[in-house]
Amino acid sequence: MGSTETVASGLSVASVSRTFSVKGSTVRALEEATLAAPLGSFTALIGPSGCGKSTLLRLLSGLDRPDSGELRIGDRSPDQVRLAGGIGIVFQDPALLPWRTVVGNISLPLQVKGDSVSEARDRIHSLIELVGLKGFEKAHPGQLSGGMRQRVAIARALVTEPSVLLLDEPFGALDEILRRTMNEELQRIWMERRPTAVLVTHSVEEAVFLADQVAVMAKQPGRVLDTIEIPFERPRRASLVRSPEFRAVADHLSEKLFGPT
Amino acid sequence: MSGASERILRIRSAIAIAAMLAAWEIVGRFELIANGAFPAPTAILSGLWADSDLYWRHISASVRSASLGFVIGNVIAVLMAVLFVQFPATERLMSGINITLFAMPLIAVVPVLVLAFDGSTPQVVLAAVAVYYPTMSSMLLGLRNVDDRLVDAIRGFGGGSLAILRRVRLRAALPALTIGLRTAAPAAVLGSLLAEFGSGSRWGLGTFLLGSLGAGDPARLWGIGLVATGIAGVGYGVFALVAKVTTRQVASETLATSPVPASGSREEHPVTRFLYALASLIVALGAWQLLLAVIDLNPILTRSPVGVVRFLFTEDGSGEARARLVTALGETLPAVFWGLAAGLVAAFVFAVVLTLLPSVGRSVLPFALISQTMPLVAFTPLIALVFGRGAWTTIVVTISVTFFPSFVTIAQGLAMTPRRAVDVVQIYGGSKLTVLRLVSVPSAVPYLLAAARLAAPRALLGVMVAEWLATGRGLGNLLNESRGRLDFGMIWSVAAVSVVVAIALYRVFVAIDQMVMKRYLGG
Repeated sequence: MGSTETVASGLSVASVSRTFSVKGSTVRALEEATLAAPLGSFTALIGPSGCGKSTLLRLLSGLDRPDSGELRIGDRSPDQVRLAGGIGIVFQDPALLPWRTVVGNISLPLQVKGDSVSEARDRIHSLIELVGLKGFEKAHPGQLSGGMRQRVAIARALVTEPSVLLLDEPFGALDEILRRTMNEELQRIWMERRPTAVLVTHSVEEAVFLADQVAVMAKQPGRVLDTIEIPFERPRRASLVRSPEFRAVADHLSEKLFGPT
Repeated sequence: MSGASERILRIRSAIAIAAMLAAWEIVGRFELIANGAFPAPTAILSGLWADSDLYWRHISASVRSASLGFVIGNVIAVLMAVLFVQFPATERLMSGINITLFAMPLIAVVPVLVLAFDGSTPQVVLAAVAVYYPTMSSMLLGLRNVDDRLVDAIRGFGGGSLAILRRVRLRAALPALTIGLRTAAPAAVLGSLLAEFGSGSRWGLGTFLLGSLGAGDPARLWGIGLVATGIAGVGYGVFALVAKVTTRQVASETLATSPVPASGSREEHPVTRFLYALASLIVALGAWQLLLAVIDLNPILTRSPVGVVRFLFTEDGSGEARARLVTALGETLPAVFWGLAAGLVAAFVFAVVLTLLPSVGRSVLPFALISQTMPLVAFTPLIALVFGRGAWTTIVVTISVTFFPSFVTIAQGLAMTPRRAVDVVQIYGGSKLTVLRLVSVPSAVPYLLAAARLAAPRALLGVMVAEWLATGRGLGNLLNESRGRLDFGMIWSVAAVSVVVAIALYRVFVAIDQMVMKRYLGG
């Protein structure tokens, strides 16, 4: 898809700045950051700690506002989209409510919005199937593994059928082996629903494997240095990571991040 | 939080305190509430000043017995904790005694102590009893909660459990010990005050309070209450400071990573568990018997466990004794229940409301912490002055002893509401109230249960003190009456029954806790 859509109906970040004052000193978390993502595309934000990638994600979620510049999702502001249930978000910490079952946790956004949970039952169950948790509907988070909890968090983020999916280092707490599996899973889930996705990550491999484009960010002040297109066909297979083409793109990205060796 | 907003907060709480004092002064000057039960702060101060000689003699007597009991109780507590960690089976055998010392309403054993000891010894003993559990449990947690890797390292160098104790555990337990001592200091003051009830000793704040009951001088009752609170507060403050220093020194990254090993939770044959429980009961009753032998009193004054059973079931007049005890229980237990329920509900609501007003919450929490150090006994006569000598006084005393510790526990629970879960609710446009309903309140439930468990024994103590001092009903009154009538069998029976009731209450809340948590977390 992507090609026939105009950028205007995707995500746009235009010259966005955000500063915080911490104990009297000012931190320029983001300065004149600019980024565009077509509707239904997958963008990864990568950069060192403190480059403002999580700040940018928070601004896109509408939970925070920029000091200057403008963010649009289609022709609406992030806040408008958020209140309409158009944004799903997944954090590194799955942030599940321990006293709720898998179904209960996935229903949470609907309850907050005041939507009927019983009407959405089929949708919830197909989501549980989509994220591969069939049979665990009645389980509590304490009974699930770390990867399974993150699957619940992804299902919860998708339950309002959002047009934008924000992922803040969703697999940062998982080990490398599980992380690769989850990356493949995420690609599959995303391809079924095709929300416009933005992923914050520390991992070059994860960014190249999942994204259509990778925005490389730098710190002090936080800003977008460059945007790199990732050309690989989808669905991408796990073996892609070992191909010379993949390594070449990854090396190019590393060079942008760490400078030429 | 930045320095500027902290300063604003501090100024705001200073203004709030000043306004409160001013209001109190006006209320006092014009005797607006309960015919002068709230004398003006200036009147209280001038009373303190006028009687300062008298106050000093009472204060020094109380401080002396509280400090001596504090030292003795803590030495025993630390030694026992070391014993328990080196030989875990001893902890299980002693669990009957430990739980008794935790749950027992201190006042229940006062007449027994007064029978057994002379002079200021009852005060010292009760202070020691009051400090034992907080210090022992804290120390034990500290000794156990060490990094497994350090233990493995010492083992790797060929060290045994004694080397581990010396090189790792004792040092690592220091912060936990000081935190235990911080709680123990006000407990020692409370213990020494309570033991003066009916002790006939001349000096001490408890004696002073009892002697001032009939005088109808609210300013003096306030003076005694505030002085007692001050002593307890100083004790708390000193060890809070020490705790701060030790915690800072040891707070390195390698520590506090390993969870506390749950000694009781491993899979075990039910028969083994039953045998341990039985053994711990026998040890507790044996300790009772042994104490009687050691004190070596006139047998007329004492009752062994079997003696209590005989007094209540087989001796002449046992039917009448039993009837009186049952009547008293029938008066005490509902008061405990209602006071505890009201205290917990109030604490829960208050804590939840304060999460909506975080700046108010931050300025209230320090007061709540300080109020935990208040020796409640000292304020019971004042509460009786306002609420009369009926059920209301009992309820208010019970609420006041259960409210603050529960509030602190629940507020700390609410403060730990997972930040990200709050974000999730806000993403979908959830208001503060929605966050409260869907996230904060349910996440505070485990803390509410923990608060109930801890508050239940306190509620029983509160009710019994109110009954003894004010209302003339229930177990507390029966104890006081039996003391006056030299009804030794009843004195021992009330003590034993109160302990059993306290333990049963605690057990009930543990069971409720386990049941709810099982449903709550699935399983």
